[in-house]
Amino acid sequence: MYACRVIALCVFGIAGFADCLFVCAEDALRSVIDQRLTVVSGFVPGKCSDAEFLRRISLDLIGMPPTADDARAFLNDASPDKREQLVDRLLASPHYARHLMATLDVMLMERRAHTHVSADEWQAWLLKSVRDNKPWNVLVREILTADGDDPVLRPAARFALDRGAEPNLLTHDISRIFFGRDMQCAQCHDHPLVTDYLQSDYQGLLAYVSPSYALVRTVGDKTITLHAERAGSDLPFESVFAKGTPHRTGPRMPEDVVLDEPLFLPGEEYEVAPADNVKSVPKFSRRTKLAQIATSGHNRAFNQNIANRLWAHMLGRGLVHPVDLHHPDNPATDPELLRILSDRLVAMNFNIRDFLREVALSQTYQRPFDVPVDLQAAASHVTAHITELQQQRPALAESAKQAADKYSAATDAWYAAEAAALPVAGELDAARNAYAEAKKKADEARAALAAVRAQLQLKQTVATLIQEAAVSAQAAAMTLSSETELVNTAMQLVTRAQQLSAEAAALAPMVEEKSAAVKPLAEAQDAARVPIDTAIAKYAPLKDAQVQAENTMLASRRQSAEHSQQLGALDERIRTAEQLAALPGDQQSINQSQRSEIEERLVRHFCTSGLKPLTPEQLCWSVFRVTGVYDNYWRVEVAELDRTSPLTDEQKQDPAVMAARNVELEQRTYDKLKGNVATFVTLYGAAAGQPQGDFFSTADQALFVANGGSINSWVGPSGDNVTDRVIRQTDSRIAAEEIYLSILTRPPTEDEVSEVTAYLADRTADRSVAVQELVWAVLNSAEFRFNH
Amino acid sequence: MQIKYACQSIEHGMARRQFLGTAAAVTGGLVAGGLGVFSQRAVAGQLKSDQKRIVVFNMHGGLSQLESWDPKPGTDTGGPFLAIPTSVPGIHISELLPLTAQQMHHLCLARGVNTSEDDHGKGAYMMLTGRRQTPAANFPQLGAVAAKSLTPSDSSLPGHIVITPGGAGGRGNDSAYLGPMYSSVSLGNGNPPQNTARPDTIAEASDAARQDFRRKINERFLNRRRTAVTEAFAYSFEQAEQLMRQRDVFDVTKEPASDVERYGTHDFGRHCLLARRLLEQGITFVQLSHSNYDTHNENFNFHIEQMGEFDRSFSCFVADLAERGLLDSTLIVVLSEFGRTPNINLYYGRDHWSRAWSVCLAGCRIPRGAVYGSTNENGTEVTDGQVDHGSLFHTYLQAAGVDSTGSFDIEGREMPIADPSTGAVAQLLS
Repeated sequence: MYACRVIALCVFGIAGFADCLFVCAEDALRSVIDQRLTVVSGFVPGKCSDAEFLRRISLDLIGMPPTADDARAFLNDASPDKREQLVDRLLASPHYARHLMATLDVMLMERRAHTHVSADEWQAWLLKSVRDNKPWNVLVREILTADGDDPVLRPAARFALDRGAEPNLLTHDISRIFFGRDMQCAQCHDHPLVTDYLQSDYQGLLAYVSPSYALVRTVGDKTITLHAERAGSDLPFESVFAKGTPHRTGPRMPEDVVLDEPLFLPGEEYEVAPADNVKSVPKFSRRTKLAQIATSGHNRAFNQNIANRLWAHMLGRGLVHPVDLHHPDNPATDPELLRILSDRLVAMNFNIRDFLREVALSQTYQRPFDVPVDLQAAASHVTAHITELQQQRPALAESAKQAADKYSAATDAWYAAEAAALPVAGELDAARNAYAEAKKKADEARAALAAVRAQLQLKQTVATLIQEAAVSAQAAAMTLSSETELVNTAMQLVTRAQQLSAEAAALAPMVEEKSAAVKPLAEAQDAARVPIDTAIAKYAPLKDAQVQAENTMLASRRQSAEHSQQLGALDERIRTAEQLAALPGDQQSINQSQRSEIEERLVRHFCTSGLKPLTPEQLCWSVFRVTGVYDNYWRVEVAELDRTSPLTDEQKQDPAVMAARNVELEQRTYDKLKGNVATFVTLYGAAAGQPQGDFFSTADQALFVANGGSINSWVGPSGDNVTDRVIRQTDSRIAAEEIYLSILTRPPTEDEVSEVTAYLADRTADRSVAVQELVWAVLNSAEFRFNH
Repeated sequence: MQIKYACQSIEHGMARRQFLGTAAAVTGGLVAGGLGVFSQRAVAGQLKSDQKRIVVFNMHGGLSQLESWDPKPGTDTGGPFLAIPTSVPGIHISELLPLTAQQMHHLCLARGVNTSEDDHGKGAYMMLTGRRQTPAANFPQLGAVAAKSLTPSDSSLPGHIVITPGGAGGRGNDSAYLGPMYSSVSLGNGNPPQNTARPDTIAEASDAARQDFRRKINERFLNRRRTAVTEAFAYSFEQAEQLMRQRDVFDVTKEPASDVERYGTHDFGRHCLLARRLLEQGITFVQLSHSNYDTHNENFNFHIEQMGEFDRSFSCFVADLAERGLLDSTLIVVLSEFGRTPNINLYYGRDHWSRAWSVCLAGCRIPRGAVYGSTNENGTEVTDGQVDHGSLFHTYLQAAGVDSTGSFDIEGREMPIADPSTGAVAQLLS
């Protein structure tokens, strides 16, 4: 009865109390989370057991379960704040950095091949970033701006380089990974299923990245690919569903106005103009601007995306789920909580570690996995709420409709403003093209003039030199008039000097001529500026109107989205309530499918923890941990370091020295074992470049664990691992505890003790084999495969 | 101005995966399809009636159309070989395929293939996915599409098999957004899938005992929470055991010695016989390759040798399928990444030529004993019935009963099954 009230209240409380729920700015984030997702009516929510918490938090923060010894120590620890202590211990361990690095690696690169940046360089950079607790926005800024030229930041350029610097792929992935919007289907038309994803959103983001390109630069015998950038221009586009209606957009981020960028005269856009083997540098870099605006802390989509993704990392699913489908028709479980989480994350200066810590210490994170059996007891509590919730609906639906209508009208006005501006934008383009043409001609004439001038100057210089030589030679010849050769040379010099002077004199009119040719062309170029200025003057008010219409549209879009999300969240609660109310009164007649449906809903509301499949990396390191492989390798590295660089007793007392030692040990152990990760990635990971979050189970995985050499050898007895300990253990109860605590981080139930006892009882002859069977079976159970 | 679509429900806007997950849990269905425990006889009975299968012969490197399906004897590009009559009056193919010529009444030649891509990798990608490669998107290969569309949900065998000339086997990276469930299982040099044999170090009883114990503790956990995800996980072990029990399906040595002799004792003969076995046992899609046709040098000598091998095994394969009544339900495709230049180079070789080449088809809805499309006198251009990778891809699927104009729903995203900008070739479908 106690437990089922949890459900009733946490599912239905929000609706009843949402409006009056006041979140105090000073409240710790963890309690804000609980306030939002539970109710403040003096009710204490359920809490998972210590063992459950230990395994859950270890897998989430360090990517592997604890050793049996650590588990025993934690379970026996009587201090009231031991969970908090544990969280801090885990966050301080080198394994935390390793696990978060692996998580971010997969999130950012989705297992793409290493083409331009090696795995070692990339991971080292990412690992260092995590160890330094680099704020998320700084990390992303580096990723979005790095061009790969600076060796220190070259790994950050991998995001673009290993995607071939392909603008559409980058638009798609930047949108998904940094803004939580999978807009791929909006490239050629408004998204067919998600009405909020407009083609103009996609094209606007594309305009930010389309000037960037892969530059292959060769210096000496070294070739390097850089992510260089050109100057950008507006992108024209039209929908394949509405051909003949042209659009154009400048750079625009989701939920943001179009970027106001300086307009340079054609030919004056660059600090360094593009050329073969030269990294161009535009005076105005859209990419830098994208990084700046997105990571400033003021971009809602950017902030909510990372808050939601970190939440999903801990809770197994986002408040918005899937994490790359943020839109009004897919509302967050609690839109207000998502807003608070992202605001707080920004206030924390995008500190991932601190954020995860708060989530870990919330009661919401510490919900029990088991759903209360007594479901229909909850239903009795529900009926009254259904009416209450249903009563809220019409008003909310009405205001949502009004907001949607307003948004629709604002969109029409925005498109109308665009349509009005487009012809003038075309005039401006034409004027700029004409200017570019005039400039090109004038530049050609200037170049011709410069060439003649250079020629003239050369002749004059040489003529002067020879003239001087001729004078000296003549003087010498007069003194030594018998030396015929000398006399001849002097005469030749005189002749040549005269010739050159004549040639120079002949060039002078050509200079005049070329100079005269430049004049009208230069004037024409100057004159060509006038239409540009005229067009700009004409365009300015239209552009202003467009920006104004855009602002109105964005505001109404936001409003409509908020209403729509509230309505969606309410509908979701009503459906859940109705479903609970519809449960049969007799508990026994609740069938499996009804139960599954309810459980699924409770998971969606974070009333119970869901199932989180271990990632390939988590699975690999967890198998190594529980079979003792990891700790055996670790011990070897400890011995090795103790031998090669022993610590003094004094050093051993210094926490900083010991922490550094741990980091080194982790790195060395990781390096020895990392080759095995690939096996797990091949079997348990999705293909390169595909989303990595979807669970799948295939026969080849089961065949690998059953018949492959690896798992079978790792479950063998070795260096005090679980198998070894259990073989030596004569007390079958302790043996059972050893198995369950080592592999599943929990003591066995009585039933499980009996099972293990019975299993081992008649296997005295081949006890070692029997123990390996048990270890293998528990290791390959669903309970191990998932975090829960 | 927003385009409105018929269904604006919240379900539509949300990800499909959770709905699929819920639905599967509700109906007791499985993410990964169910556990097929019907007997071999039942499979065979069902095979003939409705299940469609596809087999692809990938003539790796680029088969010469002039030395196979579209000979041009007596022209400047024709080379030394003659064209011979076939079992279908009026249709002639290269004299290098005398046995296949006798099966022509089962076959259909598309002689107007123009794919405009002379790069091996890109050409192969196009022919196997029906699309041009783009950096922003990756598409599933025919095998993955077939496995997803055609494999019965209760099949316990993998739906997508690739027999490779060598290698250790494993899972291919060829299913793109359809996910690893539909990736190919490779049979390296025709050996059974990886890890399907119990290692000698583990006794059968020991394995059975640990699997039983695993099931028992699994069941306890699943009683706490049963979802599509846990079901799929538990099922993968059952599927693995099924696969081990059915390991014979992949064992070509179980075929009669006389058939081994007939097909040829070389690797390709063995692979063809294995393909026949796999299709008969209910595998949806089998791809095998014959290597290597990239004959920039000595095109003619090489084709004498390679076509000899191919002719013998392929003709047996076609004849057997026809005789066993499987041709109505099995689509056969013989493709390459491109054809070879009509022009003969200085080294008696032919180079890459994608503008006019041939694909051979048979079975299912493909017309029998037919030719569609033609090239000019010396084979340099298509003159009639032009088709390309995209229209052929539609055609393969439609021949096998898949509506290629439909879409897969991948987590709320509609992914067209085949390139929507083109369609099937009506003349290649009866």
